[in-house]
Amino acid sequence: MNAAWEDDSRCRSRAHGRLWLLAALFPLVLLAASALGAVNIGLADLWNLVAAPARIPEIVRAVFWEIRLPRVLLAALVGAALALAGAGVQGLFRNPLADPALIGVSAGAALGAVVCFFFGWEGLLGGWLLPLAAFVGGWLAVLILGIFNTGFAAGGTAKLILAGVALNAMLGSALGFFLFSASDDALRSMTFWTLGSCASARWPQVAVLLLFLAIGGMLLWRNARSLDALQFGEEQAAHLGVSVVRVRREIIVAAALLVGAATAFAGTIGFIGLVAPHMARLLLGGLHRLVLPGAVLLGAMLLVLADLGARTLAAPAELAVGILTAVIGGPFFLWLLRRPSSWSA
Amino acid sequence: MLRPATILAVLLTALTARAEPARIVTAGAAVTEIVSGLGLGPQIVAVDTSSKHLEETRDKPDVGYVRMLGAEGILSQKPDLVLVSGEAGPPPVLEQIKAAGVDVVVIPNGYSLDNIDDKIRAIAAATDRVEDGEKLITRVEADVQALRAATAANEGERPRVVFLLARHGGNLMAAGTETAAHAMIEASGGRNVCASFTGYQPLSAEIFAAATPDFVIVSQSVGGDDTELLARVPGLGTTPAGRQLRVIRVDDAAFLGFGPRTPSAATEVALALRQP
Amino acid sequence: MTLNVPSLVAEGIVHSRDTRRILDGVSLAVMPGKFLAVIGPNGAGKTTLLSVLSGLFKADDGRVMLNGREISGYSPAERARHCAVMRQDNARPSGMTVLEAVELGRLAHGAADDARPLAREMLRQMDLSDLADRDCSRLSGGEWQRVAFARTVVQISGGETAAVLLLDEPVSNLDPLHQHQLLGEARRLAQAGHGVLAILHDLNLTAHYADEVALLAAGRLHSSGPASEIMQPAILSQIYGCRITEIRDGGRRALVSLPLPSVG
Repeated sequence: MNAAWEDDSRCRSRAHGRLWLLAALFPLVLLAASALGAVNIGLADLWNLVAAPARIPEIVRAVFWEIRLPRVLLAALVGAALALAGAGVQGLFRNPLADPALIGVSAGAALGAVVCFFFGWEGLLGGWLLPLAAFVGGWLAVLILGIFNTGFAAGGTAKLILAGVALNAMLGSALGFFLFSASDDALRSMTFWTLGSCASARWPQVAVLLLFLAIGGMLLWRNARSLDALQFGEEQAAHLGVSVVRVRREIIVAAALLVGAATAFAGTIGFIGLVAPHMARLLLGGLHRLVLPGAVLLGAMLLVLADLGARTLAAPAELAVGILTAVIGGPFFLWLLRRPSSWSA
Repeated sequence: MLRPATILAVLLTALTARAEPARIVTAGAAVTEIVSGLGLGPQIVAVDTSSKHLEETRDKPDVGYVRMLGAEGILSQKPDLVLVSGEAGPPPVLEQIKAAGVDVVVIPNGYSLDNIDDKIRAIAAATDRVEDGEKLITRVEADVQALRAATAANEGERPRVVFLLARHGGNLMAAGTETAAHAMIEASGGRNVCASFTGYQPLSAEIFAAATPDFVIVSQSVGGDDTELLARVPGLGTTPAGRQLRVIRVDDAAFLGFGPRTPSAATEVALALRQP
Repeated sequence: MTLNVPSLVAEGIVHSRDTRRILDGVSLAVMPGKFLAVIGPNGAGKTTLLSVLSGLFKADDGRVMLNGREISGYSPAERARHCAVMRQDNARPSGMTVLEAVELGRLAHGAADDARPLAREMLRQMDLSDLADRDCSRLSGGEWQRVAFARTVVQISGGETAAVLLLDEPVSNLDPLHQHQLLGEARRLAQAGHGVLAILHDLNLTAHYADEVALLAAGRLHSSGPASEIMQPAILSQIYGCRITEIRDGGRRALVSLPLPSVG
């Protein structure tokens, strides 16, 4: 999957143009997703909600401010966090198939949540114990993985990937044990949690996730050039001045923060972490100062659109958003891969 | 019999209930059946997927699976009351609906026939239909008495029963303890041969053969005739139930729902268990 | 800095992987202003020596001093400003242009650094300007090797103090013209005051470009000294295990290895 550049001196400015295009598209997608939903609002009323709220029925105001807007924003933040984590992990492992799940954080978070459901604790702490358990589970997994973040004389990254595979398998077994022993009620809750959903969005969760996105994003951004240098190989990057072990640690911490927080509030959502960074690379090239913001915008838009489908296609019922991420993102991704010469390898 | 939680629910709903609600969204089969039984069927504007089995609700809008409700979808039906069973969720969605100014009443689940009266009382209070509620309770109590009469004959040597649940992929799983099916087997005068584990579990052929059930209860929604059904479960053919093709099919919404129709569904099973 | 003080010194380096001893007491010095070639048969430990010299591997015994300080005391970025390394196993990134790849040579110099003009100038010197905007994944093996060299040089250019360049087989993929171009550039850097160490296999290129030669065999330093002393057919034939003879053409001489192996 090589995004190669035409021998064209304008290619980099073209990439910048594309990034600006994505940035311009993003508010439009947010606006459209805010206007559409089971309760009809429409663009005109969207304006009135801000400018002349007295003209809008109270129930519509409540739906917009308490339900729809936090949900659209949560979807954007979750999508952005997953895509950002994916971009970081793929850059670190120089592996197009690397997924944030590879570092064990998704499986750890799922285990934390499943344990919570198993003991019927999901409602405790005003409903905050569940995201907390998921987040802590994700972190414990990453801390275990951190033991294997040693130097590179012994094939550091390869060892890290293998440790991640083993860790995922072990967490999968633990997960299976809880799923198997769970009561029917708990099992159903677990199943729906693992399908992923943005339906539980409230303002405090949006605020918390924004904070995590800011921290994780900053950690990745300050390592953007190091990630570029890592594309030459870890040893060569070290010769260029990259502190490989520190960069590895920071990328993994950032990915764990991002995926842990996103998973805590929205359950496990696949596809975006794997594919949004690739879309960014296909559109913008490989430099991480372009890939990272591109992945943020693409991931956010993908999940906002998928969630829009989840809450409108079967309205008044809900669809699982995990089904729709691939349905919406897949064709676009395949089209990018198929595009003629200028971007193909 | 009143439990503290129910008393609290009744008090809370009595405090918050407006006069009779005009637009109700229900989720959970038993809740919907009770609302319908109170004569409020026409006021129901939308139901969850599990409540579509009633004539009255078949054509109402579907707000989806009871554990995966969406706040906006429910609010788009402009309800003034949302009545849901205990498993409804996710919890934040119910909070969102309350935040939008709509009354949400959660009717706790309970896997015992006694709970049916509690549920009816809570719903009657929430909908300001206390009198209709007492009438419905009287009817249910009569059905419970009929059930007691039907099971009396089975006291002493209780028939050995296994309940099979169809899961996705066509896998059949047996009901252990802490399931609605276990409670209903016992209430119908049978003995659950799978009391050694909790929840629904797939059983191995050997354990099935050793459990020697006399009867198999399955949902009527499971396809195929009795012979096909027995062939799908390894080991079942060698049991008394398998050899004599003793399969009882139930309407699981009624039999397992702990709603107003549950006692009479149990009576039917109890009568079937009396067959030699 | 006087020219007599070595930029990079290795003293009694011992390095083992698992139980196998790869380097066994190697000492050498990279002097500013000199081009030092390290030669020796495959498996002699040349690349491992380069990894130890550059601070990537820790020596089991002995020490490496960079500009008078033990190399393990440098941070990666500080080390990179004093010592640039071109490895053999340079992965070729995609979605990155040649110019951007060369700019990454300035990674250790901070955000305020003016990487772009330095990178452009280096590409011009290496006749690579035409490739500046091409994606790295579309280069030929030789082109990529020249780009990697350009990036390595950019890493230490513009500094006030003399730096060290460590090159692992920098011309292995190049045609004769570009071999001369690259090694000529390396020698020019040495003449400008930098210390240059290159692992080479081509004996004629070694004889032509190196000021000094270190001959490595089986993890030990066999001999070292001025190129004219070390590059003798008798010594080389013994070390490489095949007959190497000298051909003279007017004032020039060439070392030739004959296809048939022979002993001594």
